[in-house]
Amino acid sequence: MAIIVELLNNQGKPVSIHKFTQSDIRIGRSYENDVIVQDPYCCAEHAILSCNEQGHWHMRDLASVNGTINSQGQRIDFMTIAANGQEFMLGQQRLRVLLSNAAIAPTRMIAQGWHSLRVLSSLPLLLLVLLIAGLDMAYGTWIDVVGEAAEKWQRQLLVIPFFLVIPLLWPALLALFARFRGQDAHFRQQAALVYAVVAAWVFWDIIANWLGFNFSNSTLFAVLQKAIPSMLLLGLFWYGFSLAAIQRKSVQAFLTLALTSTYWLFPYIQSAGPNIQPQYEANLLPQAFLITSPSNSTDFMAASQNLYQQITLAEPAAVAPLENNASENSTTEKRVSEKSTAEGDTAEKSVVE
Amino acid sequence: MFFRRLCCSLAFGLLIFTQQTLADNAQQVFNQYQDALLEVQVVENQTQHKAAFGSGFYVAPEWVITNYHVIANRIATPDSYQLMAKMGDAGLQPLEILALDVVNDLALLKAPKYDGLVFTLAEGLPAQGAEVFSLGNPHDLGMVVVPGTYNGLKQQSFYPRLHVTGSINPGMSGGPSVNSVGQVVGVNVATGGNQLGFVVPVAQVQALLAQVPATPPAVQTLKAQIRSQLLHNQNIMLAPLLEADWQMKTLGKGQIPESIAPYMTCWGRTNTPQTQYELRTSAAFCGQQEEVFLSNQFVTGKIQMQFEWLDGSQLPLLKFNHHYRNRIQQARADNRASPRDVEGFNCRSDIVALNAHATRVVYCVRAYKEYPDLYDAIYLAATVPIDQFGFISRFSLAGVSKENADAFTRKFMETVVWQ
Repeated sequence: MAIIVELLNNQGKPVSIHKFTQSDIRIGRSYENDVIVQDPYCCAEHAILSCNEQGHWHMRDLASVNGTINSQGQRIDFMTIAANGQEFMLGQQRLRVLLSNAAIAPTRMIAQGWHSLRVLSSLPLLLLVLLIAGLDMAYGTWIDVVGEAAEKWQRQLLVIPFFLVIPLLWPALLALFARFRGQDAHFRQQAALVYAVVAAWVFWDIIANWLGFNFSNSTLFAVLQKAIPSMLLLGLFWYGFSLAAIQRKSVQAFLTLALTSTYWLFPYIQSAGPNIQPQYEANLLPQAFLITSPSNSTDFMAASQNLYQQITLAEPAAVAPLENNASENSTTEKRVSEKSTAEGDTAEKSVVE
Repeated sequence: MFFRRLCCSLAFGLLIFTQQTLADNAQQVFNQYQDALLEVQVVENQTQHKAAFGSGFYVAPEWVITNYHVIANRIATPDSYQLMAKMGDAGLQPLEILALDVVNDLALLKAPKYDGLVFTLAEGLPAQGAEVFSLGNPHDLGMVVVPGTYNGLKQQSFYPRLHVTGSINPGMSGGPSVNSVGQVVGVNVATGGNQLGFVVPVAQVQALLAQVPATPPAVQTLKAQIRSQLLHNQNIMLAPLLEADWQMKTLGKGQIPESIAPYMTCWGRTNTPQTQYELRTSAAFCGQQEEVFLSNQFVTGKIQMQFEWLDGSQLPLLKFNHHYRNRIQQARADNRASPRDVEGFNCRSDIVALNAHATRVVYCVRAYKEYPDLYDAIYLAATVPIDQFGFISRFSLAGVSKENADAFTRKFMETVVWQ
């Protein structure tokens, strides 16, 4: 049976692997050796591995200066190789001895999506996507400046490369994560994915702008406005985690949903505080972008009738302390008012008709 | 030389003489009525310290007049505050609310019985230039009498106010202003700084005294009164605006109303661009700026209109559009209100043809939580740009009924348009 000697780096990864069929293997710094060790703390003839008649292998120190140390940290003169993968330290060089029948790890699959992302992560397409994102930022900068700032607006373009680099944080994070788990980083593919989503987002923004101008009160638009960014984020995270070779689908699904939910969560948290200022669609584009025919003022006012919320006060509860149950009062008021709004609607409509 | 000196000494003598009579009158008035004046305190229940104070005066043995805004805390959060009268050596005595007039900022309180001389109300207004004396407790420094001059009714004011040139200061709110014989001509209510004082006319006090209940009503009843006063007031304020044919003038290509009522005052403004890459704007504002005070966080009764003409002919169309759009992003109510007073705004936004021009129209309404059928309404319209020109018109109404808000909006939409 052949024997294998691996020279290891400090992390325990093999840097060179030697396979021998002879029965004596000389190890040391001199070029006469079978395994040449470059470590300066190693002697010219440091140790010898030899096989006896019974087929057992032994490590023998050749009276070296710094000695041969076994995995327990003891200096040895002679030691039988009892198990596969036994490690020694020669000077400061780590070394591992294996027999050729040693078990190896199963073949790893190449992560899914690698192939499908090959086109996207090709350099021309990556550059094109970067160009789209960059142009969008440049346009945003240009359109925003008026007055004196407009004369030197180009200077502001210099920050764009820095902004463009920011999305790389995500693939970098995933790459780091992959390294920890001993997986492939797929940095370029992940970066291509992120920039593709950025570019898609830019396109959607332009389309949403135009749709919002034309279909302010369309339910379909309201749904799309929420759905499309959510889909983009879902796609980004799901595919990204696929590339990062997360084994369990449930973990992948959970992480994807958790990260996508931030898109919903942030506005939701913001809306927790009382907001008594108006929120409305204020989109405006030049006439040429208008594809719907405007409604008329009568229809507008008729449709506005449901804006008037009917308030019904709760019956005052005797003369008892008003303030103490003010909070209760307001909740009952709400319930009553909601009910009465519905009634009010029909009543108001009949007036309009 | 001699003549001039004579003149001077004559004038000087005259000055001393008038000063002297004024001082005499002031002393007389003060001596006569100082016991019928009191400090109205709004005492916070937890700390038993005053949260606000003002002045008040007896008009009958058990009736004290003060300003609504002095005692507003008691209406807003009845459980946290008590009303107390600080009466000389007698210490703090409880007060109770009998009647309110929020529109004219008056309150009638039931006070401990007072047997001395109470203030009498004057029959009419003094002549312009007549001397008046304002009484009260400025900055809690003790009761003072301040001589002043009556200068007619406040011009362009929807709510009637006497204009008194005299030092009316915070803390004197609710105190009386009296004529030279000591009759009440009005109730101190506000100051414009620099000797500009405003006083609620006595007629409003008389109206309040005309219907006094025997026992102090519950806070809910008072709130119902406030509601009907607000409803009545907005009807009176909006009726002339709804009835009148609005005289229009142009702002750029936009049609905007001239001053459509005496109490709607207008202002204008234009920017002078420093560079060629700028938007040129001309703006006009018209409004009834005076407000009805309901609480520290809640005022109502205002009308505001705003018109803006934008000329971006130096800018590319999309750039113009971007900055034009930015100007309609933030519509805000003009009256102060807190979430405990009003519901959130409900808005409708659409592209509407106004005078055949496609226009972005936004209309938002919020309801008053404690005063049913009263609303704040905001309207905003911006013409869809064909070239680099824009016209924005907006208004906000505070404390109006649905019918009036609707009617005003319809009228505004029909008249304030792109020509």
